[in-house]
Amino acid sequence: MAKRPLNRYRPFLLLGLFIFIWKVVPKSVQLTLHKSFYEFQAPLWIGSSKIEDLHSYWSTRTNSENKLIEAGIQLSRNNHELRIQLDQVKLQQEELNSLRSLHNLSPINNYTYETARVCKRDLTSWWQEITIRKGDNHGILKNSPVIFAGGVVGKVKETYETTSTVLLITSRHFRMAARFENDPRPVTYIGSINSSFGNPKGIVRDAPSDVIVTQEKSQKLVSSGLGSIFPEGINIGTVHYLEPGTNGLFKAGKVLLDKRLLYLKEVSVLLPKNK
Amino acid sequence: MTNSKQIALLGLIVIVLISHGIANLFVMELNNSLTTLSITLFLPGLFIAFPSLNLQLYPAILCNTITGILIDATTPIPMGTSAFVFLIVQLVVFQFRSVIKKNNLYHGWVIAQITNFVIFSFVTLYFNGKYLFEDGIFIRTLLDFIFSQSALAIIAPVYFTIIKKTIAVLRMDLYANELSHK
Repeated sequence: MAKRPLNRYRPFLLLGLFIFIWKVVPKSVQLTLHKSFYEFQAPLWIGSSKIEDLHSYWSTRTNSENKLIEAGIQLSRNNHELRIQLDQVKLQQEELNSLRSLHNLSPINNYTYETARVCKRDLTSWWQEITIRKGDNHGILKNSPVIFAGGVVGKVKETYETTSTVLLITSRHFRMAARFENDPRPVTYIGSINSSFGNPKGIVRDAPSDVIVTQEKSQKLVSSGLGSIFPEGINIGTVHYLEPGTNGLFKAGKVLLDKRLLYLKEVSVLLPKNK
Repeated sequence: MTNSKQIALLGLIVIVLISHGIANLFVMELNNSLTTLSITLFLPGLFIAFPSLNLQLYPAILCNTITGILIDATTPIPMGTSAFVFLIVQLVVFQFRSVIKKNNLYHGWVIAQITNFVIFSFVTLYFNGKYLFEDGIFIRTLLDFIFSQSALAIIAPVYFTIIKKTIAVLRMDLYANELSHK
């Protein structure tokens, strides 16, 4: 009979025990547990992402020969144009490097590009992250900048053996130094959660009061190179309006980001050349 | 408890955890596709309801703690928080499960909906409590919630039936396990 009341509260005693153990367990043990449980699940995501790749491979194979020949012709035209542009870029790069060496300045392009497939997208109203299929084994470093064809994607938040999580540019916790394309003065970019069925967006703050941006005269926002994560001049988005901020000294406004951020399939991680 | 009973119980836990893993992967794939519409499905209620209503106390605690830690490991939620919330919700459900089962034919479905609502609200308050009424976050959260609950309403009965059928196919007696607790 004496056992009954104890049995009734046994679940809550267990809960208390769980809290106690969790508080007593050192952080390092919690971190190891976190990593182990993450690594345990990572092969599932990678596998699922590879199945998706296989699916798109087989769906491409079902295309008719004529369609593939047409696509091949278009691709070779694109390659030809890009090769010409690449030659021009190389010439300009060489010229720039020689000019910088004349003035004893360090070379601008200090990065190598590590391309990675996206295997998981977590774009919730609470957090905005993606998981890529490359990690410690591929030399990915924490806080490395991540970009794609449309500009900034975010920065590497955490690295694991074969995967890494990337904090997206749309995350509320993401902020970076930026500037308007034709203005060297720095402004602050902050991520903003995108609304349902809407486009990705962010917020620009601390814009000087003499900068004028209207619907007709929109301006591109690019990375400023300050803050030592992103190199200078990478596209962030477009600003269509600015209004006076709360302090009246600076202006603030909304930044429209590239739509493709919502369905990224491949990104590039910038890694320092000397590493 | 005899050895054969222990093995059967372990088998039940393994089946439930594997089912949770597959369901979690399915939800992840759904969310991957829904990112183009900026909609997210959040369905923790799916994972808590079945063990809380059908397993004994310790196996249910084990299932929910492991599921919670698995979720914590893949989200920016501080390690242990989901496991802790899952445990609280599970223990509350566990206290009233005989009453719930007597009075409601669709008890699994109802519990899944309620627990999902509770955990969704908790995560929203934890992450967006300060910013809930800023810049369209409330509308986004509300729409995510409506879509999540609707998806859960469709998926939960199918999911519970699949687990029960799997247990039956493997000739394990879920209800004998439950009655033995009483």
